[in-house]
Amino acid sequence: MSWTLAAALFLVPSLPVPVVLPDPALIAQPEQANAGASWQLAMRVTGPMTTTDPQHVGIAIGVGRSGAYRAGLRYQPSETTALGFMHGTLGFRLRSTATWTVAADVEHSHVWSARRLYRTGGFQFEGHDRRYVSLGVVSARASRRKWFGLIDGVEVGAGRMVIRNMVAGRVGSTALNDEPVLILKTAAPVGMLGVTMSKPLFWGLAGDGRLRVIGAGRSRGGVVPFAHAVFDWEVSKTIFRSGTYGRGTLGVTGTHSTSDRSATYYQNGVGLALKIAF
Amino acid sequence: MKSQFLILLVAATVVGCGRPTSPGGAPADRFAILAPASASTDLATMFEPGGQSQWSQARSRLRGFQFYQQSLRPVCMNCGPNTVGRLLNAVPSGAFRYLQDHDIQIGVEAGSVKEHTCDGRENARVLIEDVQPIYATGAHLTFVAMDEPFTAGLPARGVSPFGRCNLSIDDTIVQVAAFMRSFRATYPDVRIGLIEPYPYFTIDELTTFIRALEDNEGVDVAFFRLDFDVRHRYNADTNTKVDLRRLRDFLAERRIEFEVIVTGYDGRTDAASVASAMALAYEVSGIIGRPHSVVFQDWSSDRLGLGSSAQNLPETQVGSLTWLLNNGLGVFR
Repeated sequence: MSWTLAAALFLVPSLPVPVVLPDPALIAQPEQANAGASWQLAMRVTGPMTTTDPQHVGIAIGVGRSGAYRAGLRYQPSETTALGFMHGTLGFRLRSTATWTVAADVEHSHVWSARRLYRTGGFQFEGHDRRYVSLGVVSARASRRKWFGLIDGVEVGAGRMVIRNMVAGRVGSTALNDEPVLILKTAAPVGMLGVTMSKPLFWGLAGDGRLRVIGAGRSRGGVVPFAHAVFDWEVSKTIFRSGTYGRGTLGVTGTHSTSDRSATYYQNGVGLALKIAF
Repeated sequence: MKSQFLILLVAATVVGCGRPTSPGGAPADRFAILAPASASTDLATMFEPGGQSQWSQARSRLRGFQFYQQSLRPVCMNCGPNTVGRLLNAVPSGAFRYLQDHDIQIGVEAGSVKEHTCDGRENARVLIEDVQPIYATGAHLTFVAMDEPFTAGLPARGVSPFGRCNLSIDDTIVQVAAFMRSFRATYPDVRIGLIEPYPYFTIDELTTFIRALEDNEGVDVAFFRLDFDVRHRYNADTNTKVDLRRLRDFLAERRIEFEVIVTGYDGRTDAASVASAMALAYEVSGIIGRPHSVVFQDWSSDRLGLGSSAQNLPETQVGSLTWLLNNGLGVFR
């Protein structure tokens, strides 16, 4: 079974998705390598930081399972559709030692967002974006070592990115188009190189991050962004820990991309994240 | 009495010389050209007393107003209600003089090589006749935009409802240059520019056409106007961002003005087509910023002669051409 087929089976067909990167909380830590599987639940409330983002607060929920085999799914509705963003991962540990965990995952992200591109008087010009990225990823994560005191893992991947650009006009509350007009459909193979980071901070806070650089091959129209970077980060604090209810963290989270065509729901979004692992 | 006469003479001279026949320098903040469909329902109404107030804002933003060549004829089969007679009678001084009095340049989109007439000299002769009504009212022509002569001259690519001259590139260049020389022999101050589609033609092809015209034939291309079909990229192996920047730099190096057509799908600008027109404007402005001129144009049904429901007025109505101009210009600011 190809990884794309595996991803397709894993995800509900046609679900819209935005982001590229698996939830760091869903990645099994090396010290967990030999531990039993655990469930993780997450909820994020994020909002746009730039005018080219979808101008609404997004509420995302996620569920994940870690262990030798692992999976994760994050879902967020958009302003106009229940299926605004989906991100799914499915993988397993290839090798696990006391110092390293090497894993292979397939990921699929699907963004279905509406952005205000231009506004004048009562007229509003909207972009209705459809972006899909499917990646096969191999990652290695160190448990006892950090490069530059920060980087604890690397990942490489390859896959395909699809972009469908649609537009629509609106005057006040009146839509000028029955449905958004397709202006471009294009796709390109992509490669990915990333690092994961973690660092204990002050006051019991912990910082996690992931930086990915994605380069695209040639695409019709030249629309698939070449060599853009996506940075996900989170600063969190443990708010409870018990044998019965597991561990809960609350923190601030954000996503930043150098391209408004990346497969992230917000190009720049910041919000709160609550996670529970048990 | 003598001094009063001298003052009047000086004043008359200043007024008379204040409107050069050459393009001169249009205000930098006025970079819009309005190009209504030849069969638009209210082309003549724009100049009638009752219609003038319906596009006052758009008019104040105009650098130029472009007519289709056929609109300048006494009889036109595919111009709907529009004839040169209606344009001349719309206002006492005529539509052309009205534009000139409002400091709006007058332009004509014309065929230099067309599928029905592949001879450049013959097309120039016809155009010289067609523009006579403009000069007859004391106005003057500022520019001629050649309507895609390489598209019409070269063999068709893919399926096309229109015929072609099936000329070679060399022969097409010769005919285009012949048109330009012949027209300039009568009107040396009129700027002549080239319209061609992209990505129907690649940037390499477009630059080759321009180089050949200027370097081999020795005719100056005053401006290049891009007919950018954003949808056609589906089937074209292009990189728009790279291509448009290359074209911009090429034209800047040769001091050729870069113009872009903004229109909806199929040349329409009604309410349903506004989004596609704005998408074109948004994409171009994001890549190359503001070109020298932006042409808000409607050519719906012109070629097929089926008539048109294209509307230019009023500027408050969503989807009218003047509304598109008022709202689309902001994208380029």
